Amino acid sequence: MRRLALVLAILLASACARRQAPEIALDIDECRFCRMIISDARFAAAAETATGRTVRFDSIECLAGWVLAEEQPPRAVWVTDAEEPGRLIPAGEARFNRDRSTSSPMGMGWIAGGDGGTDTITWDSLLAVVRIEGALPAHSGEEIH
Amino acid sequence: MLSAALLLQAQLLVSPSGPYRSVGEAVRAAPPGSTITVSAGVYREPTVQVDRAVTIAGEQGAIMDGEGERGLIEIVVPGVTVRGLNFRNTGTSYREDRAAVRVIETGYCTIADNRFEDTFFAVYLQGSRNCTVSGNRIRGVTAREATTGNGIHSWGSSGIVIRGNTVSGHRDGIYLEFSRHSTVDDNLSEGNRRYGLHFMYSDSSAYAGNTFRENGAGVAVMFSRLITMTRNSFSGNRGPAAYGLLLKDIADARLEQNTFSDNTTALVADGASRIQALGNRFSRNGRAVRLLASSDDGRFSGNRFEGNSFDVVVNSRSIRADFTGNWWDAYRGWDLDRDGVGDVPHHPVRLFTLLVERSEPALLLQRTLMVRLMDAAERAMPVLTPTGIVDAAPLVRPTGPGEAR
Repeated sequence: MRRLALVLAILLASACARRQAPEIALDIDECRFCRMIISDARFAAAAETATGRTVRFDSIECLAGWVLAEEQPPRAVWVTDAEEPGRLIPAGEARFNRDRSTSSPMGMGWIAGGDGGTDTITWDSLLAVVRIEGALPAHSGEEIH
Repeated sequence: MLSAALLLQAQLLVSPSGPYRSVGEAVRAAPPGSTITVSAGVYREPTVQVDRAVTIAGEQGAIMDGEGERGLIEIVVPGVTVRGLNFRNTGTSYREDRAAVRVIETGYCTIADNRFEDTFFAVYLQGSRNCTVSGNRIRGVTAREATTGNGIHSWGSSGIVIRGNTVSGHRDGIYLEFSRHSTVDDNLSEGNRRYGLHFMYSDSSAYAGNTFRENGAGVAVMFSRLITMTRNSFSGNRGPAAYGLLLKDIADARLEQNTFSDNTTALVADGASRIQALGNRFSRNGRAVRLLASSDDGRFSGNRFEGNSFDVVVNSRSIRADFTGNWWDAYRGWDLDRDGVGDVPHHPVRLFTLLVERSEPALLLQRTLMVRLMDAAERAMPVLTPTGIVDAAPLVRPTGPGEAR
């Protein structure tokens, strides 16, 4: 019994350790998806890949674009609660909406909050939207001459 | 006739002792076409909404102070000029991306020769056309831990001319997002936290004659097409992952007569199609040109490579680019027929760099005997060199722009 408790404790500890949200060095770390230097803490995001590597993102749209492009699902994904920049929370616990008046780094306006609120969607719903719409703005560039 | 014209050009004076005691009061009284002269003094007043075509001209010592609470001027009609004023202390607000001078869905404005200090954004153009932002001196928030916006920010605008400004201490010195047909010339952008200049979803624009020094990274051109870059200087971007210029998911860029010196990496191209890099100079960089997979059909010609640790680095054997006719200080060939072109090809990519691209710590081996043997073996047997990147006609005399600034 005691041994079982010990094993459980170790498992729990390692699980917690693995879930530790990574640090993001603002103005130094690059977004894994778009390469932009991460500068605005309100939109920063991160993930742990299937192979255990930490990757960082400048925006929720880039995180979503990366998740959808990965062959294997990541072990964990985190986003920033925009009301509390500097602290990452598991994406599954966050709620999202799109605020066009907010200039997110990639221009899609996705923003995360910790609590419910109205007109918000879950991470899985956001992924479904991004799968249809694409991660980044449809850049209506001019024809190349 | 002349006197009638002069009468129409009304003059209004703002000073602490009147006749107008605030800029806003004068604007509300001004007929279109008039000039509002602002005398020395510190003006603390609600954000001034400029809703008629006037010129606001500051005399020396005319200061508009936002008291950490608000932006200072909003331009909402065509034909406004704001010149010679000092703007300071807007405070920070993400909710509104607070700016000292904001131009809202209008055009034909001039913002010239002003000074901005401790403003979150200095000049913010949104949905506007044909505005000129010139000769301004912009210094952002100086405290390292404070957040800051961009110095000159153009969103959804076109025909914008940004010339001869000095910008420091912002997130991006100059940022164009969803903008086009704009030019950024002869500016000095230094000591900004992220980029000296940043293009995002912005097409058909050009920047020339600028100096980008010691920013987080020099310039990032991302998700944009038809950008021309001429006679710029990119230097002193020395962070572990820093670069002078990033070209990311772009097409049809031209790079001519630029100088890149003392950067960790001078030029990074990732997903860049059809780059033309002609007559540039790469001096004393860690890596001069770093081409990543999916950068295709690039042409590099007439460039000068000197004193770089590595001249060209790739992360894949499949990358193809035309490197014909450059000058390489690492070239060890000869020119027996004296036609100015080396008689044997030059292979600028070293086998060793491919190892480093795959595992950064391998860089520790750079000065070891093993790597020198590898280099010697490559020279004797070029077939060892891992890529199709070769200069079949290396120049024997240096080319490119003059001494790096």
